[in-house]
Amino acid sequence: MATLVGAARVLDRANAATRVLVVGVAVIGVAALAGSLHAGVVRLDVAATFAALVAVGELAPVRLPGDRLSAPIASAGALGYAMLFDVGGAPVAQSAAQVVWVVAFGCAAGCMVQRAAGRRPPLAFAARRVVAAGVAAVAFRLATPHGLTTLRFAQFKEELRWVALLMVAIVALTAIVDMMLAAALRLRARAAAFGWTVRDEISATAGLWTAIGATGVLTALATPSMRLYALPIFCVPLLLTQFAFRRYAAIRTTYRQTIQSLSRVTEVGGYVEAGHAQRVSVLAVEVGRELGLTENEIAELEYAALLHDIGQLSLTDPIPGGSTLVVAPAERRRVAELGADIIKTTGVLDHVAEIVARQADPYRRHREAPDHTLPIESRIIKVVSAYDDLVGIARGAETRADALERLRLGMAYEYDPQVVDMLARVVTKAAASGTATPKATAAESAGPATRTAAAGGFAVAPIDGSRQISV
Amino acid sequence: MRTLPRAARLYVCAVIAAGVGLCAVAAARTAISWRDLAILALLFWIADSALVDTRLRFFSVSSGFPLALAAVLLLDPWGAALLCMVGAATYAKGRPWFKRLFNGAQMALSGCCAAALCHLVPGAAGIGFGDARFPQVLPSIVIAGMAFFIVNNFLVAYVIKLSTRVSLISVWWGGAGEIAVSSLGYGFLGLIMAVLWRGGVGPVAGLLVLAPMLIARWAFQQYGEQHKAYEATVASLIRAVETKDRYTRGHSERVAKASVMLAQQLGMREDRIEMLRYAGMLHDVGKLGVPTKLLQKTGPLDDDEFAAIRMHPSRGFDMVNGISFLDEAMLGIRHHHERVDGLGYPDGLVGDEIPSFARIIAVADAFDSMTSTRSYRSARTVVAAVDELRRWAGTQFDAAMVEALIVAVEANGWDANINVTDDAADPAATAFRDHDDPTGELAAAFSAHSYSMRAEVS
Repeated sequence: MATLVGAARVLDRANAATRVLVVGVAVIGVAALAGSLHAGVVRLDVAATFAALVAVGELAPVRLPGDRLSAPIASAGALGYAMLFDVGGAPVAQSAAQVVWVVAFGCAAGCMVQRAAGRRPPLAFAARRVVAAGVAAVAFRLATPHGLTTLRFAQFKEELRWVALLMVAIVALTAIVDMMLAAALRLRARAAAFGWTVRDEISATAGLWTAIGATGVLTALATPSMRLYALPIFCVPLLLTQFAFRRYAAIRTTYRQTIQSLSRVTEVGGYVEAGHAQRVSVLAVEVGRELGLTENEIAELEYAALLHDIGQLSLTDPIPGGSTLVVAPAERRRVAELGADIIKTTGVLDHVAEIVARQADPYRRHREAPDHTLPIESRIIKVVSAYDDLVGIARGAETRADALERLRLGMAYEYDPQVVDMLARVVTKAAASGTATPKATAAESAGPATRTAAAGGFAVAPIDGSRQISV
Repeated sequence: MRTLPRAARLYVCAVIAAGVGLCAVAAARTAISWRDLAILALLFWIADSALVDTRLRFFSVSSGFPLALAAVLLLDPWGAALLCMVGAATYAKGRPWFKRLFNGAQMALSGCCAAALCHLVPGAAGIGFGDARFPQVLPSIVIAGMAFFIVNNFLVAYVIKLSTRVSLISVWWGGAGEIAVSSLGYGFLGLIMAVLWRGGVGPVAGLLVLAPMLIARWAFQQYGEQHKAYEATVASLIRAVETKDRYTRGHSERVAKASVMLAQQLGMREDRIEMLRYAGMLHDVGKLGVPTKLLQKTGPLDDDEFAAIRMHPSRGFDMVNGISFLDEAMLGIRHHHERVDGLGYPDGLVGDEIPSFARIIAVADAFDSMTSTRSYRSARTVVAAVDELRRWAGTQFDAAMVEALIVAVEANGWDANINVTDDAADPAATAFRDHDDPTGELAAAFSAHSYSMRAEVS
């Protein structure tokens, strides 16, 4: 639990931009309300209905890969209101400012209900929804300078298919703006390129965005004939779509939890120190994020980190203390390959198997250039696993610094310097935010195992003298 | 076609004849524009190409329902019949001709019924842009949709019943219910599409309407793929855990299989059966926590050692505790060594206190273990194992579960693991007693203890 809190704090720290966004949107929302009150509110009943729809939609979020929260009904409602021009044959000419405050009001109400229910309101996501509605509203008004509603209903009917296409274009534009904004918010360390982050955002959200956008357009197009009854009718298919995404999210969670549980077989079997796989995976994911890996890469890195010692199951005798750091490189490579063989038999985790297979390879060999075929994930696991072996469950600042120093000594050949730097940043940041580096969530009662001098690529001696055999 | 039973063949032919006849009449009498029909058929085809493997046993689900419903609202009954026939029958994807024709025919019949009903209700047909009759027409539209749906479901469920002898009700519970509700929901898309199409948006409306549905299908597909990956991963990791002992290789998977057979015999719901399969796969995962030397020990065990072995169900439970979806399966893992007479472990539950998953796994576990070769004895025949199960029914095992497994094995056969011909492991490792075998030889060593203890000795 402490790990999660720590991670959340790190994230908060990295995303000061998020706070700027939320505060900015709140200010703009209030300003829009003031302006709109001054100019006169158009069709308050319609505004209230849409605000309620957004608020309710806010309560039914769906989680996409990479901890992205989406509230499809809220988003579709907001887009629909942004482009709404007619209800039941009566023109509705709300200003863009009115759209912004109505949507902001709905989002705020939804967030407050969530807060009252004890859930953490997804402020950043709600703020982005307001921005998206604003972009769509402004674009729609710019594209129809004379206003659709000035046309008489009958004339308008002739143009409707072009209006439909215009709305599709506006939704596409809004989606792009929203994805760029999301990518900007997620952009973290120097190593992560903006392009990557955008690509990652697109692959994670484009599918649901299509459904949301189409529903928004349909809402705006259908209200002339179906009036506000269109809203509940549109919610049904979108809810079903959302249900499909939820199932997808659920199976991903299950997959992850299962790998986590099964990764403990090596611990329960006495092959490795308790909690090692878990700690390595948490740290490796943090380092991977700092290095700007995409969501898919992060998932594979996490699986590989959890399973990186599974090859030890195939050994006849457990390595004393379970640390692969203290055995000869050839033996380490054998464990890695045995593990990769096990993972390969799943038939679906080939890249994970490759990462595990190559985790024992040095960053570069004597007098050779760094090996570019070595997956970055393998390099991360190598560094983080060594770090965890050195630090174990000891948590002092000194131990940490010692361990990092030792890894730096091995940088010339054994460890990727960039990864070691990133690891140093992650553990220092975590320590600074008040929590130690990720702790074992598994039973820690098994106690740490002792370590003796290594016969490996470079010498490692036990750092913490107090750590004695207790197994 | 030949593989179908006679009654099913007759039924299929009758439905095809009725559908084709209807379409012949329709083609002659309809007054709709052929251009509209062609565009709708194209959209129908696009929707159908997203046909999804729903992992249901008997049928797949077409995404064409909203399109068919839109046609019902947009066209006359004849036109609706034609569209359904063309849409469902032209969609191929390696299906035999008679299935395609049957699907086309049943859709045509359902569509025609629904459209006819729709035209009987004043005002429901021809709903359009700026229509003042909304929402008054909504109930009749819903009725039309339901009619379509009921006729369609009935025609399909009946052919499944005739060809597989599975009852209509269990077809419904086997997943049709869930699909039904979701396709009814997507039916609203058909309404929206009809309204917009009439309103001047035209075929673009079709594409917009299809988007949420196609995206949902995509997500379901992703879900399916992840699910397959998940199963493969669990299976092979369990196999890796089992490599420690060649005699129990494949045991978990066979226990899972036997448990599923048993549960199907009991008529358990599909989603629970799936959960049970995972419980069967993972039931012995806690054995990893038992020191190998104890598992391999040949002589009598002292009380401490005994206690250590008896830990494995609870250890397994602790291990999988983090997998939140397992839910009921976790109790199956924890209690698979309980006995109905209360002499089991870890909690000594009695009779119905033992979760049903655990009672099922206990029987499946013992059955597989008895019909497998062990180091200290060869495999029993299925007949002998069945006798043995019957003997302990009511004391160690739940009698109802034992009978269900016996019936299931008699009906489906059992592929026992008799040949252990793989690598010859070293003798020390193979001197391993099977804690799942209720007739284990170690009984003698523990005659002082009750039977319950003897049965669990590894």
